[in-house]
Amino acid sequence: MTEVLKTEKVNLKWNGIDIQAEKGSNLLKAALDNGIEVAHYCYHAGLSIAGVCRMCMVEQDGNPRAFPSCNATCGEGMVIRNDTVKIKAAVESTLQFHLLNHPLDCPVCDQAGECGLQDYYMKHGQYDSQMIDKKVHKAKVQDIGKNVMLDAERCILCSRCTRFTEEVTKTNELGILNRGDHAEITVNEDLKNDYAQNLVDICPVGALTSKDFRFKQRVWFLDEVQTTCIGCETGCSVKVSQNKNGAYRVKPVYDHDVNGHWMCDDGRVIYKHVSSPTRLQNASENINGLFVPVAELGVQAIVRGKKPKYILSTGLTLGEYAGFFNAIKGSRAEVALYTLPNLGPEFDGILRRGDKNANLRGAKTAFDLAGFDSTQAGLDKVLNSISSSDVVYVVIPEILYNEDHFNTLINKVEKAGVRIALTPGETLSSLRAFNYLLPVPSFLEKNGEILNYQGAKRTLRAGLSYGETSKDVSYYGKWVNV
Amino acid sequence: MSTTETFEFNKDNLATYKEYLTRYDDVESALLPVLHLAQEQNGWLPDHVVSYISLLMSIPEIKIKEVISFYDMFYDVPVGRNIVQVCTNISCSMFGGREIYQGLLKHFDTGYLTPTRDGRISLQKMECLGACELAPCMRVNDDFVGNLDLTSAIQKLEELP
Repeated sequence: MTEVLKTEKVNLKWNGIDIQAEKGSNLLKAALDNGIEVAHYCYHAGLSIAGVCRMCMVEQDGNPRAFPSCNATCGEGMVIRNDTVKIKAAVESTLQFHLLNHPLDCPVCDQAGECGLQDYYMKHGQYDSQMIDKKVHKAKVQDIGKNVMLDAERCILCSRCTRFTEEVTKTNELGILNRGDHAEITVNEDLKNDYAQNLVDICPVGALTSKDFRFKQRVWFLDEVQTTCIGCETGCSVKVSQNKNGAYRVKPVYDHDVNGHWMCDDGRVIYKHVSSPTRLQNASENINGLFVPVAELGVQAIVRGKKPKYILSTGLTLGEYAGFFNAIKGSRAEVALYTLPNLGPEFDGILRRGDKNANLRGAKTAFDLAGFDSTQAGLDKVLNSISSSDVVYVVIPEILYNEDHFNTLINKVEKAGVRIALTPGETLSSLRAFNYLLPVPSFLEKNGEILNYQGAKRTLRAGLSYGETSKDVSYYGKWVNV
Repeated sequence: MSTTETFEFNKDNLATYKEYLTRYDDVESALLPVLHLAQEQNGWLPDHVVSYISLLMSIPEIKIKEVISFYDMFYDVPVGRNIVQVCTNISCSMFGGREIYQGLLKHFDTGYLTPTRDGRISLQKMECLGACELAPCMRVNDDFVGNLDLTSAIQKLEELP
């Protein structure tokens, strides 16, 4: 990703249409940026140019030879066509060549519906097979680690994955061994980088599929909601694929300022607690370790007259913090902030950060504005002052990377007369320390904004809705006055 | 099995290696001659040799394996003391090259690259050796032997040490 802003533009003609492109960018990018469809497999804006798939061939006026547009630089006044008979024939033949050894297993392939081969076949396919030789078979169902499955015979050798491990993660696990018909993607040793799931995204065919997602759902049954990852303070732009049965996967969305094209593997599982079978959906009471649904009014009656103490998490939206502090304004409630401990190095050099608090900056701003202490000292003060006449509300962090650290907090809360957990996730066994569990919306069920490590506003969008999870902390904040 | 084995260039080869590096603008370009050198010393190129070269030249292992698997003259399986490459491309095939290769396999009771039981010979079927004027021909280690028939080929190979 180049940080230099190239403002200089050049004008060119593509299939007779005037388009503008950044000077120095390649022809394919210029076309794609201008909304022109050009078939391509090996080109990826986040990787180097390989020019191996030969699908993006174009013709230029005054140039007798067709050439791949990904490997050609835009120049002023270029006249480019890719709708000529010559180019169409070239693309058709190239696709036919790509499909020589490709198995016909689309009905059982996870990529079906979002497959580059299927898409272009509808447009450039030859339909009648001219093959007289047998297809070359290669190893299928290879678990190459990090939740990635490799099917070598579906591969069209575009080399996006090998370039990814070489250029982005610099771990060099993947390579293309052998030659010609026998060439196949191979792992030197199992994948060991923390960005391996991106391989599944960039693979234009079904050769690399996600072990987590495969065979769970067909992509045409899924809707995509663009939101923000809450896995750490980076706040990558992501899209969550989901339907009425729950969320199924998380994929990155290109965002020049924050995450570029990629996201880390930790972010891929942030949806798990939302559609988990043990997700808390209704107000529940803890009866000897069993959580039994209870009427919310009953809980309200129990907290009446008790001194409320709130321990918020760092994963709430700016709107939720504002609404909450507005609700408790003028009451005797005490509020503290539980901050997740750092995990791993501060920054791993690509995207992932050790600070796992998605909205720490937003939380601190809101606390300062309302006059509460957001520091660890503030939390300790509230925890140490807990007595049996108190009711303590703890907002459970959506993703607990370090459950032991959180359990020390729970141990300190046990002195309180009534302990209520406001949880956006699963009913963890550690929540048995609480008397009541009340559901709050997870990041997939609320609209709002959070501040990432740059202090930039990142948007959360609601896609799912489960049980009675629509009431957020500001609703429960109003209980201070009952 | 091969994980415990170690490999290191001997003193002469290490000097040759350093000389190779001076021939090219970058280290990667020297990979082919370096692999030949390693294969000369070790006979074939198992994983621990690849690891050694990877460390020595700072080239990722997978890149070296890509090169080894691409070219027919690098061996990632154990081979016999003598390599015999039999040409089966057009000119040689027309003069019976394929039949000679099959006949040799049968005579030595072996398969593609598999060393004979005494470890003496590995047979390899090759595409064009670039010696069509000698068709049908084979390459015994570094020497071409041409105008073959099965009998003379067998006779020639039985003389090998």
